[in-house]
Amino acid sequence: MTGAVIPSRPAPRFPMPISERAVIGAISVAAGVALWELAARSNLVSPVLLSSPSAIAEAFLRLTGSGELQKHLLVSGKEFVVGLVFAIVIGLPTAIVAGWYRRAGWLLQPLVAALYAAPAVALFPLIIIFLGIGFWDKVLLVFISGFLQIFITTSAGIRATDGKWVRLARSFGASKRKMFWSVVLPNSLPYMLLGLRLAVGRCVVNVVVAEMLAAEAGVGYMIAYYGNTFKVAEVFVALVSVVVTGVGLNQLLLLVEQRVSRWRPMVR
Amino acid sequence: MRELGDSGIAFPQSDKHTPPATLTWRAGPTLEQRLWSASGIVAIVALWQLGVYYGALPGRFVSSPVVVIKTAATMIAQGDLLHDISVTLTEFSLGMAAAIALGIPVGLVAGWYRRVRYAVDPYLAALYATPSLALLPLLVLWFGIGLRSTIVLVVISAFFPIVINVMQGVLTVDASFLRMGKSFGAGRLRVFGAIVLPATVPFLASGLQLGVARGLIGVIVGEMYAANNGGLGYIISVAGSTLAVDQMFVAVAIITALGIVLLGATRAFEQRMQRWKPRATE
Repeated sequence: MTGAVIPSRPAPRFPMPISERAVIGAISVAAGVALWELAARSNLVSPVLLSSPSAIAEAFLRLTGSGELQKHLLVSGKEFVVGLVFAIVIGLPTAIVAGWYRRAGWLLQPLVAALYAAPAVALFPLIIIFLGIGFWDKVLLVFISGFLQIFITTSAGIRATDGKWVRLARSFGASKRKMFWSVVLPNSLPYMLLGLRLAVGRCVVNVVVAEMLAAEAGVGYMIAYYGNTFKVAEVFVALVSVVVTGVGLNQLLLLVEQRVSRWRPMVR
Repeated sequence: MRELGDSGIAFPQSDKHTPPATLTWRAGPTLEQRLWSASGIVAIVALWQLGVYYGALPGRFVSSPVVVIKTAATMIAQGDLLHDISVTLTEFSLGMAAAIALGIPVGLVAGWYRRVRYAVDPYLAALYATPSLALLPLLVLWFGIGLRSTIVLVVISAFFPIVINVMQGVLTVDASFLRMGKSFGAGRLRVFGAIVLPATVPFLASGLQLGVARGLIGVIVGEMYAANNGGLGYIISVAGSTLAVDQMFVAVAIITALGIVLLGATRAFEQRMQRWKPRATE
């Protein structure tokens, strides 16, 4: 879930209320669910390993009824939000400086690129040594992964200002400061939003993986715990809640991106 | 957005929201740039070493560059490190090979046959959105601790970017090419082989780039979670529980180097393929 989205193609709006696509898609999903249920019921595949849609629905009701799912979601949510806020607050200014001042960019870029090449989770055991297992270790991991993504995308955005506009502003006598605030910064806004969206995707994954590796609560902990105790239905419930959260946040930010880029004149 | 690496599908239409990058410096790095770039890394390493040497940093927890290099030398001399690297590379390449071998045909079929695409679309979308790393506990249940879980994780991580990009490649073949093929009397098979297949290559390259990035994360995290016989991720998790910070840094450094090499190679391949592609969408 690194933020990749299948961009919705501008589909021609059919006058028919039901498209072939929706029908075939629905049939296919229904068939898949039915087959899964059947395979589990008929003991074709061990239901312990595979679970079944009905067992997952039951587990969902049980886990939400007791408030367990909500409790773990809240724990993960806090770690995610705090880490992401730090990543934005520190990442955006750093990235803007690195994009605007060439030398700062030269200094910081190789460091960030090196960190970005390795999966951030690889640093997690090290983080645990520094901070122990608890709240702040996850926050730090989320911060690192979010920071790198925001930095890379935003500084690229600052540097990608259209040369025509820079020349235009210059010939109208804009000062450097004016140029930055009126041309470069607004122009990089779509990049910032893209960076934020990609960062959110990475942060969700990293919270979950960190909790899988070492935690006492959180959705990732749920996944690992129920996996270790052979309760596959509960694992699926936690997994689906992660996917729904990730997709929901992604769609929300995608909407913001599209809303913000609407004022932008079509270039070419 | 192609240079950002992680924006999903690097196909021309997804660039719609973002302005064209025109003010990028095309020329190679100047001497001044090289100096600045090197000085950042040198400064960090020097501060790290001096900080430990003068007791400002707790050496027990942060190790130091000299110790890390010494540890790396011992690990190589004992032969462990090379073994671990080869385990990781084996898992990675087996997984990638399977992902490619499965992903290309599925992507081609789903792109070419509209009804097949409608049927698999919901599954592709749902599984592509699922963080594959979160599947690890399930994979361990299904495939056991060890090589197999990690390889399957690499396959799952890399499969979906490849499928989705290949599918997009088939979908975005210029319709006028297809019409031309048809009016010159080419059969469906010939159109597919001569027009569609070559047109998907750049998309495959984009999918590969993303797939390699994800597969690399998959192999490391898979080993951290479920390895029992070595691998770089295994070193990290063992070193983490024994406070062997120096060994951890050795592994992280090698992973970083691997990442830079592999991602650089796929990026170069992707750009080469993009250059080949006629700019058909303008």
